[in-house]
Amino acid sequence: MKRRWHIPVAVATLLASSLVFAWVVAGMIAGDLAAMSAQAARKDAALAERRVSLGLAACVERAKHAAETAVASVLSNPTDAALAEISRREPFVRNAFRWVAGRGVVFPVERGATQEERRFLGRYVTLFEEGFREPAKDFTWMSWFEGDRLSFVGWRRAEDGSIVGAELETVAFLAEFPSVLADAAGDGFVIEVRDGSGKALFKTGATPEKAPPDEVFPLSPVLPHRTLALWRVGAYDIAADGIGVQLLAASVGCVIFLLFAAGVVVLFTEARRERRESERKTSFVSNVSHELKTPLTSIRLCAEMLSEGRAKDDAAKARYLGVITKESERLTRLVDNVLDFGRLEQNRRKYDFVDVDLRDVVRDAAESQRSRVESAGMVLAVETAAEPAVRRIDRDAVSQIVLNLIDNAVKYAAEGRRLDVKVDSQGAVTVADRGPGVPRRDRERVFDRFYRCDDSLAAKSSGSGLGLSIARRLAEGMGGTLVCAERDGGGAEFVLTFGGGK
Amino acid sequence: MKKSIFALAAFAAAMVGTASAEVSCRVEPDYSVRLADKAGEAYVKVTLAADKVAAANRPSVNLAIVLDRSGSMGGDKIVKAREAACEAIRRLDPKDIVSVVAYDNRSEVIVPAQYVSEKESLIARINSIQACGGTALFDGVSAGAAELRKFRGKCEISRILLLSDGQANIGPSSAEELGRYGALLMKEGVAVSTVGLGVDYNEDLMTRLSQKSDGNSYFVEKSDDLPRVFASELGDVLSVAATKVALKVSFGVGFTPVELIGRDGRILDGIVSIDLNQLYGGQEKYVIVKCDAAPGSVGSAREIAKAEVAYVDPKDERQKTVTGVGTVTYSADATAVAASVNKSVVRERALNENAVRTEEALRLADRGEFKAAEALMQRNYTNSMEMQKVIGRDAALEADAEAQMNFSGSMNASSYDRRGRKRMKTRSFQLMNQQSK
Repeated sequence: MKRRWHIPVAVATLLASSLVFAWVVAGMIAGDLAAMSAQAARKDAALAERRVSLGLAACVERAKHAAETAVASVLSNPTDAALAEISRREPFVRNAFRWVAGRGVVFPVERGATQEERRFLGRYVTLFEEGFREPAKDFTWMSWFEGDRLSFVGWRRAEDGSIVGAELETVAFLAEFPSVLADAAGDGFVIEVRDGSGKALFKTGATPEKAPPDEVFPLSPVLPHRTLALWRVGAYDIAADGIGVQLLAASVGCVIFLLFAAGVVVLFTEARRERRESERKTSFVSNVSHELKTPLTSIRLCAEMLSEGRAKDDAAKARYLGVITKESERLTRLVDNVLDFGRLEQNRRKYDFVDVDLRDVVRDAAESQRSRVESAGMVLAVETAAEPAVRRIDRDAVSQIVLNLIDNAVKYAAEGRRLDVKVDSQGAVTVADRGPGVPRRDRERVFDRFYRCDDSLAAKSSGSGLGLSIARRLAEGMGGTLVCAERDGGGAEFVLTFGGGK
Repeated sequence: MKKSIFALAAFAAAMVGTASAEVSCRVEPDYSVRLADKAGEAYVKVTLAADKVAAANRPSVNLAIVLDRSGSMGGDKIVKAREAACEAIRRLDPKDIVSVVAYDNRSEVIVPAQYVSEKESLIARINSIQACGGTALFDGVSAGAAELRKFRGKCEISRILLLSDGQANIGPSSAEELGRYGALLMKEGVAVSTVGLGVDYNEDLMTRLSQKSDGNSYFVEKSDDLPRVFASELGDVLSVAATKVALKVSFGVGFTPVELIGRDGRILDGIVSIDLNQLYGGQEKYVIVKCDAAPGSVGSAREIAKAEVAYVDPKDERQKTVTGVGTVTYSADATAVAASVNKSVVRERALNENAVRTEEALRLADRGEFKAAEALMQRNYTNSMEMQKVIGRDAALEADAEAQMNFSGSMNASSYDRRGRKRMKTRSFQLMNQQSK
């Protein structure tokens, strides 16, 4: 068989180009995924920021409310003892104070009664010096910075006209921040609250390696000079160069590649099948031509001898006429087969089902071939069971199957010198020879149309490759089966069976 | 004879078992006889003491154990820390509540607040703690506080036991801020005891947190000591005899309070007020007030100060009050004056003065002003030696003088190290807060 180098090259080219295509598609998918995820993450980051802002604001508001309530309770009688009690008891209040126009701070007392009060007075010295000109009736709050440390101070007017106020205990609401941040961050983000200088005040987890953060939001007015930094992690952390995306894209690429490869393989095998088919058809045509030509040549040769009077005697004449008859029969069989095959191919074969005894049909068909079998040098042994094997079949079709099987044996197994045709008690028809047998791998293929084990014109025996194919189609057309098996002691054995007897 | 002793012991035990621990208050001037017709200064020591609490009668405890599990805690440290926490849990009873929080970059509640019923399953959870990450100390403490609040009012005593071996680097991380948080927890009746492990933690932050919440503070150099320290802390917690202790000291005619030695408290309108989170059974807490004293006439007697202690008895949750009064007489006889000296007042005054100066010396040394720091330590040494001239040889003062001598020797750039600083800081803290070591 000559080598077809262009097929592997074509396959390789196709696979390579599908690989490139898959890679490109995977890249596009990765990019799209990353972009989509980034968009979703931005949206969720904004939501997380809202939650943080609201959560932190709620913490601060709670503290302010507690301080306002505490201060309100002393507005009617803001004594020193009452004010001292506020900062002693209220967790949200760090220091309480009272300020009187013209006198300045009257509580805490001058220089403070505790270390903390001394520090408090120092912290708000500018506020107290500047004074409270027009304080609203309700609470006024202001954020106060000492360096970068944030605190809140609020006040309102007492009934005696003095100003009473409180400084919030900043750590009281800072203590609530971590849980607010953790809730907002969920699994998708690492959140960090930063002070004015960018130093991290709180964070919900280890900051990812990739600095800077994906999103930064200001936290004012809730917390002035504080910012919120968010990093995408976990589900959102889809960058086009991220390992997750690469894996996803790679698997998509793999799927595409496999689909391509499967397509290529299917196309390739289909093409191969087609090619074989056409090769077989070609070989069929040449075989049939050969088959037609051989008897025709014999007939013509004999007819010419007779017409030119070259036959020496009557015996020779009879021999020539015998050849003509035999070769005509052969031609008829061949043409019948070809016609049958055509009908079978187009599913136009009609069956005429009647109840008949298989033994009669098979014996008649075999006996009609006895002279041909014996002239091929074989012994024909026909054996049938004692009991009848009645089946609803087409008599002609069964005859043709048996004829074709015998024809096959005469053609390929004549050297076996024996042909056994048998109908057993179960109604199975066996045609068995002692020829070379059929190799195991060819036992199904021999029933393919145009198939011949040795598919060449140079083969020892000739044939169309139709006989067995037609036989099996006929058997199946009647609801039976025809298989080829190995015969004990060598040779081939064809078994024809029909469904249960009547 | 033997029998009667046993009977007596049994009777005493029964008495302790049924009755609440007794809280008492003493007011003692440094000299009960003062030199007549001479203005000057007087030191008054107000001592609060509580009887031992019988184990069967002890109040229930709500304990939050907050463990550092930052990367630096890896290896033996985290193993010992877990062991210590388990040891603490073993000492609790089913009436107590425990929670365990571990923190690295953020806090994680390992054991949510719950009654101590299944110790083994709690211990198993504690043993799952591994070390990694940063040091979100503030987050850890506030998570511990949040766990305590879940059972607010269910237990008589609330306590956070905080362990750290490093510098807080996430969240509020200054001594000032943690001190404020301590003050806040104090208002809620929660004391924070801090255990600093190794030489890398921030002793200023840890002691301030303890001081402001009236908890204890420990410096543990080797992690092997952790279980012992936790146990001793538990010993204190389990012996609380009074909570929400508010001390008010008013002064007699002619005496004006000017300064508290070693403790922060309020001096307003001649009245000293100090809040303590708790008193431990079998231990004393005191405050030393420095006063300006007006002259008094020979033979007269005056009330120098009157203390009123309001506290909540954890056993029956009732508010109770005890008082104490101190008096002085005036004499022209200097020997009588000298003979009236109260040794303990003079001793504790000296020790506390020294502790305050030690803290100042540390601040100076931190800024590199070793000369000034050394001078302060030497002054402490002199103080301890001088005071022994007044009250005679005194073991505590002698030990203090030796310690001051040693510390002053390390007040230079080459030998001022983290270990020494932690020792000094913790020592002065424990002295000023009368922590039993």
